[in-house]
Amino acid sequence: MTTPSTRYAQFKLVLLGESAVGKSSLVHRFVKDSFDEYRESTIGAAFLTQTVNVDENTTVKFEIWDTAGQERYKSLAPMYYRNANCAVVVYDITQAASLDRAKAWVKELQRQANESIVIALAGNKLDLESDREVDTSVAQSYADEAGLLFYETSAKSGENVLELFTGIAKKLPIDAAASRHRPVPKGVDLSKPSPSSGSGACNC
Amino acid sequence: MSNKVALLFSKSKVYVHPTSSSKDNIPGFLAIVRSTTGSGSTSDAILISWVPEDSLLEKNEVDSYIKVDLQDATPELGPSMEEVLVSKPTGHSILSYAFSIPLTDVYSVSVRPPSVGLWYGSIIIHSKREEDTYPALFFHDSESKSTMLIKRAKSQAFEPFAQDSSDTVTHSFWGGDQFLKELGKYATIQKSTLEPQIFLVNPSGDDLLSFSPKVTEKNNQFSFIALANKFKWKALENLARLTHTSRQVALGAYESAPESVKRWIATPEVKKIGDEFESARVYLAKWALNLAEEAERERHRRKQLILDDSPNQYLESSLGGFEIVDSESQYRRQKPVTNDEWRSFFDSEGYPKVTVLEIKERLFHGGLEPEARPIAWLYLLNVIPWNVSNEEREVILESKRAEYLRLKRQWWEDTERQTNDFHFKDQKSRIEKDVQRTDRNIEMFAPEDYELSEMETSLTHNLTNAHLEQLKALLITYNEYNTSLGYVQGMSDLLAPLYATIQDDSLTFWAFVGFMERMERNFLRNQEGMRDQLKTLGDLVMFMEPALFDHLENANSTNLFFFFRMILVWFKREFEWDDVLRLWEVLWTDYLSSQFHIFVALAILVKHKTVIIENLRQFDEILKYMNDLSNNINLDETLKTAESLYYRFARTVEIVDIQNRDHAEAEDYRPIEVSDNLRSLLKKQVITVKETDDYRTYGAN
Repeated sequence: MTTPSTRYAQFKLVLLGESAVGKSSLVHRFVKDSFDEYRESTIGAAFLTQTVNVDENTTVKFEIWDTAGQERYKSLAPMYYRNANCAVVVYDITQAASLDRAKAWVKELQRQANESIVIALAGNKLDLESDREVDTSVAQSYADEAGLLFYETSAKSGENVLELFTGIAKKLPIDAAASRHRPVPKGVDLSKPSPSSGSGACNC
Repeated sequence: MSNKVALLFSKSKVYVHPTSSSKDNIPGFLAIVRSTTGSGSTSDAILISWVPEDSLLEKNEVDSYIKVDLQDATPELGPSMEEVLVSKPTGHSILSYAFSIPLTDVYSVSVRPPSVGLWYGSIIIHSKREEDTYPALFFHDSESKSTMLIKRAKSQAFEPFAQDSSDTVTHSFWGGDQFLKELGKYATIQKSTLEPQIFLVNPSGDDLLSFSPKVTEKNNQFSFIALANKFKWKALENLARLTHTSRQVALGAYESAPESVKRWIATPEVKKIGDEFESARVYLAKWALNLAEEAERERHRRKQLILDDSPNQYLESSLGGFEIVDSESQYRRQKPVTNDEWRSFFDSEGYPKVTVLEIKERLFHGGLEPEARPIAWLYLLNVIPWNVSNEEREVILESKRAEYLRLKRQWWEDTERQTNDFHFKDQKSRIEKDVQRTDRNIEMFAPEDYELSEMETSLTHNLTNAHLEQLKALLITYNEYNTSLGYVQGMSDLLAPLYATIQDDSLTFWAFVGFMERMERNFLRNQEGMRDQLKTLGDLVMFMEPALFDHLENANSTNLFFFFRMILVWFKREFEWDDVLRLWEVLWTDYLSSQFHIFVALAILVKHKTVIIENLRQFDEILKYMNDLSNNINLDETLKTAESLYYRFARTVEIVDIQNRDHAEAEDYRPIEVSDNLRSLLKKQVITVKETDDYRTYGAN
């Protein structure tokens, strides 16, 4: 039997954001502590898991859904965020337009996803400071306004990546989840029609 | 001389199948002979005989039978003046199955041509004397030289450049046709309208009136049809058992592994791992697969040994041997086509010497050597039509080159659009980002030796190279060429292998256009084409692997979404580069089905079936497991399995159709449904679905 002071919980996390902002790279830095300059684009979705220690006695396991960024594949996203406990919405600090996409994702999550979903905004590619198009203060004030956690990260250097995921873990209802014992992992629920799907959207 | 007869017609490789096992099959000749002592041309002197090969060996008469057999197949040699004399075939012999029946005694012939469900066409000769019954004769057309020669001559004469539904050409002629035609020279042959498979021989007025065999009158009607059905069902049963047994045997290899895995999972240590590391079940599933593969290799090795020692011993073993021998020899992969062989398909003027179907059959089973690809791919992707001369081909290629340059110049030289058109810039940057990370591990795309000027782009922070810049230009041109679809993520994966292989940017463009013709449905805005294919795959799993489907249902996984990536870019991410090239050229042939990739997907799934059923219970576990198969799939094995699955599917559909038809009137019979999606898998015609709305009306995507 585990000692009473040890807590363990697992949560589903989904990554969303414009194409090529570094979603997969963030996950790979977090899960495998590696970086690939030319990581291929994600087609469909990838599933990875990683644990973080929130404090001495608390371990959180993330089940991470990494999705394809291009808008064309947008209709598939609800499959992944529908049961998510938390989301990382990523933009590229060197691409102003990617923050707009991020804002659209946040809006959709707040409207369609789990009510209690914890959302973090991540401005990635901090290593390309010289090409920056999005001021930290601009993103920060948007995040505050929308009630999001906010980090600027670099998947390439690793800066702030662990902080991002640990920060999310701290915000999650660990006691509630842990009190249910070690929860049986729940698969993505594909039985219900996607909330955002229009007449022609994929509900496969 | 009374025991000598004139051999009028002979067909080689006509078998009697005394039992359901192919090892018992007896090869022989079906012959029409004329007794030289009889009154010559009258039909009472004509005999129909089936003679086992063995008996002819004893009499040294095999050559005579073959000579007559080949006469019909080689009309260019002219008719033979001289009659070939052979000894008179023996009458009805239970022991050897040989028989000989005077034409005057023949009442009718039941005919069942070969079809997808029935490998061999067959006939049964019915005597007027009800006590005389003769065995069904199976025409092994592919072994009969004369039949193959005629078949080939016919398919060349009728549809030399058939690309689609060519199966009607190849299946239309068979040995039984030739026999009936020949028989028609000596008797009146009348097709029964009641039972279309029955041909009446010299029917009487009464017979013609009723248009049905005499024996079908009164009580006998039922028994006769029952007999015909029994014969048919025996053949069908054999096929069904064949496919069933080979599957069982293949799965038998897994038997030991899953049990031990189950026990493993039950131990507390593993449970702990399961909680703390990434899904232990996924890990264990992989491990179980390794065990199964080892067992499979071992089984294969053992079988090889047995086969080398004594084929019969193996065939008679309790493993159900012949099914395996049959299925594995049936689906053997061939050597890739070399440049020389490719050139040998065409005559000196550039026209194909063989049928396109034959070329595709060869490519389907062997693929191409890299040296032959640049030209062959242009044919497979419809850049060059098959039936053109060398001169015409060069003209076509030149005009295509010019056309690409024109299309490219249209945007290349339009500085106004380059700087001010939002949609253009948006798509261009998307393309640049994707090309920048496409196949950079391939030698050609790896270097960073070409630095863009500030004018050219500010979007890519990376150094690039000339080939990557060509890829970008190709995709931007395609984006302009197919404005309703535009560029969609995944296309760069489809383009890179074409570019690297063809090594001519203009021709690569048109090859890509040809490829996209069939791939467009994967990229539709509403995902309908993808949903449709996943649905088809799901239907196929339900139809062919119901137990697996049940498991997927319990795991909320019947959407088969873990095949999304595989289907979207045709397994580009699952196989190594060289295998991708091979797989694609095989798929482009549309030799069996224009959607053969669905069978490839099924082959991959079936390979992991036991592991999935035993170990994976959640959609995310299955998706992770399938994603992780990447670069760990054996292509040749997958293609062989896919081919055998195709045939098994086609046969099953045929059996279901026959069953539905035969029982259509039975009250409590509920027909088995074969969905349109499933039926579409039997078609060779490429399915094209076009995006209907202009991408620009959708804004950034």
